Amino acid sequence: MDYDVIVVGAGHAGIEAALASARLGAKTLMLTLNLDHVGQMSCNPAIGGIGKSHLVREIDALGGEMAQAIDETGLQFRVLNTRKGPAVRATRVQADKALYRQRMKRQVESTSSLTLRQGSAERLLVEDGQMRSGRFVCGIETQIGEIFSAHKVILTTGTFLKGLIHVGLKQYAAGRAGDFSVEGLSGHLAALGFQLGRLKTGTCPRLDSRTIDYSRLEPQYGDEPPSPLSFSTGTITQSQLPCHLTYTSQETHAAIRAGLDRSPMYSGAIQSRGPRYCPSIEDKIVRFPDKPRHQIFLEPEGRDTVEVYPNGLSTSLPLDVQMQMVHSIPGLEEAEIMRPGYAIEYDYVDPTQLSPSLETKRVSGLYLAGQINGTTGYEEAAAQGLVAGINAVLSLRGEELIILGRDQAYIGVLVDDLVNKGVGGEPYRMFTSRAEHRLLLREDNADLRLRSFGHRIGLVDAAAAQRTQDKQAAIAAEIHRHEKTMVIPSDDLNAKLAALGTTPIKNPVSLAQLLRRPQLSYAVLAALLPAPRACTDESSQALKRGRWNDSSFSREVGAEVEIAVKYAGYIRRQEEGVARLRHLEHTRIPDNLNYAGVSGLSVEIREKLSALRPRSLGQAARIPGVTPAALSLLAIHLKKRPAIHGIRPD
Amino acid sequence: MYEHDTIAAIATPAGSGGVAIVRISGDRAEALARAVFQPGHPREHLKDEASQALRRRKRGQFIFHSHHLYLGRVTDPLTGQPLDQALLALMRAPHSYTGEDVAEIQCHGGSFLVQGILEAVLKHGARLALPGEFTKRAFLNGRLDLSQAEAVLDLIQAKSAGGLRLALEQVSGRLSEQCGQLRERLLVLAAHLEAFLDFPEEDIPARSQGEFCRELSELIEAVGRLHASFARGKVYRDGVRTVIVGKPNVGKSSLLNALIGTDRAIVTPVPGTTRDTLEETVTIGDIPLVVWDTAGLRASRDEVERMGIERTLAGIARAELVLAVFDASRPVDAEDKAVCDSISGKRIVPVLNKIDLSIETTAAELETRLKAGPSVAISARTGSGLDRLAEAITTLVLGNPPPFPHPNAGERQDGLAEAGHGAIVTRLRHRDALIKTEQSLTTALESLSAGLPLDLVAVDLRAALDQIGEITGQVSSEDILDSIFGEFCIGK
Repeated sequence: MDYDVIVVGAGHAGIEAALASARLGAKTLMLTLNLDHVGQMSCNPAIGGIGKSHLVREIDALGGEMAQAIDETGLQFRVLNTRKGPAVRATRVQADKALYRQRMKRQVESTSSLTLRQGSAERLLVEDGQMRSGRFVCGIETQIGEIFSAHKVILTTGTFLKGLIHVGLKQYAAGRAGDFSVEGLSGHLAALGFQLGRLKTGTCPRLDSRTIDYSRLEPQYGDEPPSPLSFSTGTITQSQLPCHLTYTSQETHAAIRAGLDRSPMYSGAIQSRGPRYCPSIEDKIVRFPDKPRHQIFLEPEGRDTVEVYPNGLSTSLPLDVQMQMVHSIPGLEEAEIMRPGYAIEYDYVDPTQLSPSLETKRVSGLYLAGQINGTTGYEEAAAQGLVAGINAVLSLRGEELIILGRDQAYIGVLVDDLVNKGVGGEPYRMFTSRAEHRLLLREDNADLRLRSFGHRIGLVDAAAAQRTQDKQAAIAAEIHRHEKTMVIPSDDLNAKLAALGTTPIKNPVSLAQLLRRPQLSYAVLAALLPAPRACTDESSQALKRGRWNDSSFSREVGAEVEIAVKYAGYIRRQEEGVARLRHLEHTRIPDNLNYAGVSGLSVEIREKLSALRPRSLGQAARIPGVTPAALSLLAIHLKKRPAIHGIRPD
Repeated sequence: MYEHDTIAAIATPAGSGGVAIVRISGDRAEALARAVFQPGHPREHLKDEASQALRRRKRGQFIFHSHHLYLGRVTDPLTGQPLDQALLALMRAPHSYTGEDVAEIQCHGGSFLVQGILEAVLKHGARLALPGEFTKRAFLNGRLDLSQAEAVLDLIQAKSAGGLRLALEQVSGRLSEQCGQLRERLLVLAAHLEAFLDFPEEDIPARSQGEFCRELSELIEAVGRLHASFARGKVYRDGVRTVIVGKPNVGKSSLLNALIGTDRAIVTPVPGTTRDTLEETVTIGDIPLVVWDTAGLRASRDEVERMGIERTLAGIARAELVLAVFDASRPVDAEDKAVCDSISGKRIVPVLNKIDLSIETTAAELETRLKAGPSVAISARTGSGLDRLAEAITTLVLGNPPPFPHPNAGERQDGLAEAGHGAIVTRLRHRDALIKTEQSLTTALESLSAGLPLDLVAVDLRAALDQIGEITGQVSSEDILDSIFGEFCIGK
């Protein structure tokens, strides 16, 4: 074999897959169409945002690359939803696209046992298994007939499979503007028996910043000080750039309406569905005709470029209409379009054909990650790439795979949704509302949830894992101290409490009780009633390592203590909800279960279960159409078989 | 559905057998049984097993031995009143039907007592068992083999498919329609909140907190009204719990027999013959009454009769309608007065019986002497006046709200007259789901008013959606997203 693992594609999924695989010691090949486009952001210049930053922090906690790369190269950092509660607080970073690409390419090039090659994979090499039924992958063939053999192949082909760009009624084949499409591979996948579908997405025209009149626009600045996405980043040192806000006008809407007959979406040239949460501007005008104006955020694409991304203006209207509508927007009257906006249609593989390790059920050794699975977003792609990369190596070693639970990570929610429900004909994006245990899956505690696990896999070094352990211990000690320390009322204290807008105390209360008051925070209390540090063994150990002198460490601990104390009741309720479902998740269904032998199942449910092959009763329960009665029959059937060990990394 | 929580249900067939069993299974079976059952016989001198056991208390907690029967009382947690004397058997895991800890409370047959005991257990945290759930657990714990379990499951599936009656179907059709509408409103509310959380930079028209709270309050009220209809739903499903009371030998059993047209109760001229309680379902107009003939109310030294009287009092406490029988052939006396005292505050139809004999007490006299409402004069023996009695009962039941005690209903009581129109909750499971929905909504409203972060408010809204979805069979996550995208222009 030439390689242990081949990763096809060098986008956000491909990078995480290849880095994870190589870092875990597998001899890895990364094959991409264009070596200049490693880590390219094809659409908006930003990483993170609600639900997405949660994914990025999880990727970071597990030992992925995305968070550190964007921390190093980002040009604006903002925390969103600061007042709406800890679960939905999220960080978003505006990216410098070129810097990000360079940073990622350097990383890929400098990783040992990782080879980077330019080429287009047109065919998979697949053999029929002898011992096992089904087929397995053994390599790939490129468009020029070059053959690479490997044990595992991970496809992260993004929007490139039969990519077709639409601008007005003109169409051309492309993977994205400026890159070739891959024409052979999806037909080959179909020939192997995979169900393929077609999705549509789109992007905005890019504008020349020198032709924008910013003087009339509302600037939007980053946070000071900026908060990083990675748990390993100390402080962000680079300067920040502002974005600007403007709005469409009635004139814009009129121009769009007049151009609709030449819109590929409305003329019928595009049949596939686009994402509802990321509609083109023409969609917004048609679907919400009463809305007088729509926001447009002008986001710089980098420090060393004049290109600007007018977020909100995604369109596939003909170029003359694009110009008209751009010019009708305040501040953009003179703006020049540097690249037209466009819609792109591409093939995707129905992800219900994957197991939760992201390996295909049809061809063993073949993994799919990113937009090929019908998702959208850099973060969603990176998360899948990491899962596929790790599992490909674990499978190679014959070790237990990683399947994160819905109560453990957004990555778990993402993968579980994909393999059980598919994407429902629309590109799948993460939202916090997709996570039923949202309060447990916060951006702030991703390290506490996943870092030790990343260390066990081998992607997180001992020092980082130790820091998380110390943090965990310090949090526990601080919560304990808050619950046990009684505060005695005094005139001095009561005066200070009154000054903070909260009621005085008459009787001794615990620090925790005070912390539960909405007006009081951990930091305020720490200033008001300073604690002797080192009051327990755990925190004194953290103290010995000098953790408390590390300002981000103590800030993080404070934030966790505050959330744990203030929202204790809600968090406990969600934890109880998780516990109630746990045994369902832990009841494994053998991969080779013959559903024909489960008596009482309806034909429809039997077919569904046979196709999806859920790994646990919990997963079976989430497959649409599987009824509680069917689940009972399944449980009864399983009870006859010897128990199989759980798979979750608890 | 697969939760290892503690479940409870009535394990004996519906209707009125001599003995009924409430079965509780799961880890908390013993704790729940303890919550409603107090061991020990009221009379120490009987020196029975239970009273001896009572003396074997350790550290204040009574020790129940597995597979022993204990005598005691069951108390209604709502009224604090004793419901019934009962036997408790505790069967600890794995030596029980389900293989889990099982507690069985055996009480006197008759749906109201049993229902009361079940409600008490549910109130303390048990979940109502789904059809076949005891059997399923029995199988999963290896207490039944597959073929036995499958046979039971088949039976249950067959029952639920074929057993539904048309009338109930119509009623529940309206219920799911109305729950569906409430859920839609709730969905829009949740979508507003979720859109606000997931898409902070979209300029979504923000609902003011006041508006949000108002809609939430309206929903709480609507859900409350709906679950309060359980009381009315019960009229059709379980019948109106009716007791016949009166001093001994005024003809209570004769009245029951006249109503049902059979000779089930033992009717003799000897006062105090009816020592046990009898229960029959009769349909008056279109209202089913579950009528309970009781032992005559009087001070008695007879042990057995006294126990009957005790149960009568418990029955009165839970009755929704009281037929108070008086003897027209005898003058009104202190015992009649005592009967009136024991039923004060209940919905009463005074019945003046035996008008075929010489009249000693007239209706007018009865009403003035006892300050009772308008009475109906009948002869249970000849049947005269029974039609007027039926009319009086129908008017009373349909025209006025009966005083149903149940949690969270508060002061809300709708007339039974509405029964034919709105949606009616007939199943305990549905009412439980609606009560939980209401509680979640109330918590959401409180959190919102207290200024707690919105992601916490969302937790309760989500819980409410899931709970009401248990009735309509819908799940929330995708629906919320659909609602968000349908409602708002998202996508910057």
